[in-house]
Amino acid sequence: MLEVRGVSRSFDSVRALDDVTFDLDAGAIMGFVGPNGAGKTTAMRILATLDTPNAGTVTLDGKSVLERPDAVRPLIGYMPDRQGAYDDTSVREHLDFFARAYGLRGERRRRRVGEVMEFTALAPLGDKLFSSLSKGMQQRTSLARTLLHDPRLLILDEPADGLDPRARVELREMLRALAAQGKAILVSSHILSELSEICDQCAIIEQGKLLAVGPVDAVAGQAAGHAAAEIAIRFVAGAGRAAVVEHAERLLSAQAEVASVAADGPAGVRVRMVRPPPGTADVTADADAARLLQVLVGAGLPVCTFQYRRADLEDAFMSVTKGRVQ
Amino acid sequence: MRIAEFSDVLSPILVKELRQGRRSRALVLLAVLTFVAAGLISLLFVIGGKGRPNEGLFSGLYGCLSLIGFLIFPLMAHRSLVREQEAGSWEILQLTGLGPRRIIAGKLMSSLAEMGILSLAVAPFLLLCHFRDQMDLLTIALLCLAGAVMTGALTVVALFAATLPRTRSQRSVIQIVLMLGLVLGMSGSMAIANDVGRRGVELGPMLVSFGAIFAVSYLLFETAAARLSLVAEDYAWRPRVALLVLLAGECAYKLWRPFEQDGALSDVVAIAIIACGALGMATEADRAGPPRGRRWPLSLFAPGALSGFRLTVALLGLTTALWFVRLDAQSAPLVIALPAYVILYLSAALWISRALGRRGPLAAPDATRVVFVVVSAVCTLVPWMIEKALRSSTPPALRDWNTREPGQWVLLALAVLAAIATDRMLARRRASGA
Repeated sequence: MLEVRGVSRSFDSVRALDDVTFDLDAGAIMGFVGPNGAGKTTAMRILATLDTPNAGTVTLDGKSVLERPDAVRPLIGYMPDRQGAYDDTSVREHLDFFARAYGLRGERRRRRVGEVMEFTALAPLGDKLFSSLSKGMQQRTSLARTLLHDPRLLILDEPADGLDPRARVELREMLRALAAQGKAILVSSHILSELSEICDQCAIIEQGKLLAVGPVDAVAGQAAGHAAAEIAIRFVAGAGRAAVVEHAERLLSAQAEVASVAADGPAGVRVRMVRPPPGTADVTADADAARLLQVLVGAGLPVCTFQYRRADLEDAFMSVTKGRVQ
Repeated sequence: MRIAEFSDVLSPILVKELRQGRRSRALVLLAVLTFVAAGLISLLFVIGGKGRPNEGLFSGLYGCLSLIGFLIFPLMAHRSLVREQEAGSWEILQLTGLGPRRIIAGKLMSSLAEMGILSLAVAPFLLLCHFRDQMDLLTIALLCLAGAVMTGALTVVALFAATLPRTRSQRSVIQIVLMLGLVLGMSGSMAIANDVGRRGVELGPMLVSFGAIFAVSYLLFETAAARLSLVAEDYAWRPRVALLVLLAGECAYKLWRPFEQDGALSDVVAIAIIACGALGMATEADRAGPPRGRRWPLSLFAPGALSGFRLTVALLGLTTALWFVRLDAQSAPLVIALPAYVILYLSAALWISRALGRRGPLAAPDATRVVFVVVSAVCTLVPWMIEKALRSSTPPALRDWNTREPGQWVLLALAVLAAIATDRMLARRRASGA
């Protein structure tokens, strides 16, 4: 549905975007992650027709975003990181105003405002002033505004910024529901654990370059020296623990699915597992971990704790980015 | 038709502004204060017996309305637009499909609508001018109409001013300058209204004045919209069309000349206005960023400095030719010299801007405009001041403005050469993507 090809954008000597290319299908949620100043907002502004690139093409449903911005705007819902709301209007008036701006008239407008208020659970707050709302409710109002014209592509810039845990969970549920309706969603965030839970795909960007893009599991699998997972094992402390650790290291190193084994304190080891073939990450990594535990216990080693953690988006992020800013 | 249905046909911006005005109670408060002030003024003049007929009472009431219409409402519109930009709602609004023109028009309409509401508070007292001072009702109505036109024009000026600043400090400066300008505009308008009130309305000149105000307001309106347009839009062509409309009106009026018998001076002033307007368009709509607007068959209307410069030169050439055939030999040199100097100064500004750097703030259109003003001021004022200091009778900048002297043709040749060189430079800059 959305095709971004070779998009570059410079501001004077700063290259904000450098040959960015990715696709986003209907019903998919893509997380856009990167450090501050990486180019996320620039990319989103270009997709939202607020800016134009120096090079590259962007098409939405086959229509050029750059050449025909008027034609694609009705298909796009953009929620910037700034609220852009009027403090002295109520939630209902705010949505009514934007519905008018989108060209909705009469009963159709009233019905649509009611629908989005219902969807975002804002109906009880309809008469409250925007300025009196909590941050979470303000974000929700902004999301409601973004949905008024029923866009096919949602571009959400840091929607979870400043939200409490409950508000985050509710936002996550809403995004899932919207994706289920067939909307493509591009969402940027610094909260990587949030993104990995709701996104099907993710793109990691730094200094304007896309460092990794694809399904979340595939991108996460690129983390930490291609390790699929990491296991922290502790043995029962006591006499002979050094011999136990040494035995465990030898035993684990001989396993095919183990990439490396290192001592972790006086009574523990840290194991990094090799990456399984693409598409089998979930099942294979879990099964491999279970087998390793069986091997250790079968060898009579006094395993005290066995912490298995699959590589996630955060690992991938830390692995592929260098923390450079422009 | 119910109110809710009626509001569907109104601009969303107008509905929003009226809602905000109602909620803040500013409009109600202003209406009450206006009514009380008008009542007090009437009492002062009627019971106190002050003022001569046809003068005092009307002046007081008109002043009361002017304060609101020529000062408060334009400032409120200015603040409203500035707030939209500061809060970031401006860009969101643009994505709805409203577009900058409809948004600015909505703010203008809300100013006029609120002014209309406040006029109702003064209307009963204005009738006193008719019954007590025997002021013609038609004159009162026309002066009120003129007030509405001025309110609209000054609101457009205020909205245009809101598009100029980029930083907070610039906003403060612009607001002070705007306030001073509006005070001047208000006092000037009041003086004219008083004068007209005494002598009676001359319909012809009044209509011509309205036409001129509409044309300039239209140009400012389109320029403001262009400045606020997204870089993805084809933002340059509307202001340039507005400039053409202004020029066409100017030409039509000059050729027709229904109300004046003046000579070269007004023609020169006209050309100066046209030159400045054309110059403004050359750079005003040429914003930073890579324009990707629609490709127009006439490249003079496309975004960018090159097409703006070409349009400026073409319009200066056309208007000069038009005036030249209608002028006598004595005033013709002035008509040639002024556009020639404009081309020279504009070229100098563009070359200096190029030398200052192709990137960064010094390469921005704003910087080019500042350089142009500086170049024009230095080239015009310094020789004149030197001449004054040397106590010579003829300013050197005017000495050679005579077609009978070879210097005039040298100046013209220089302007042509400068235009060609600048055109080539801008073309190369566009080709290199800078």
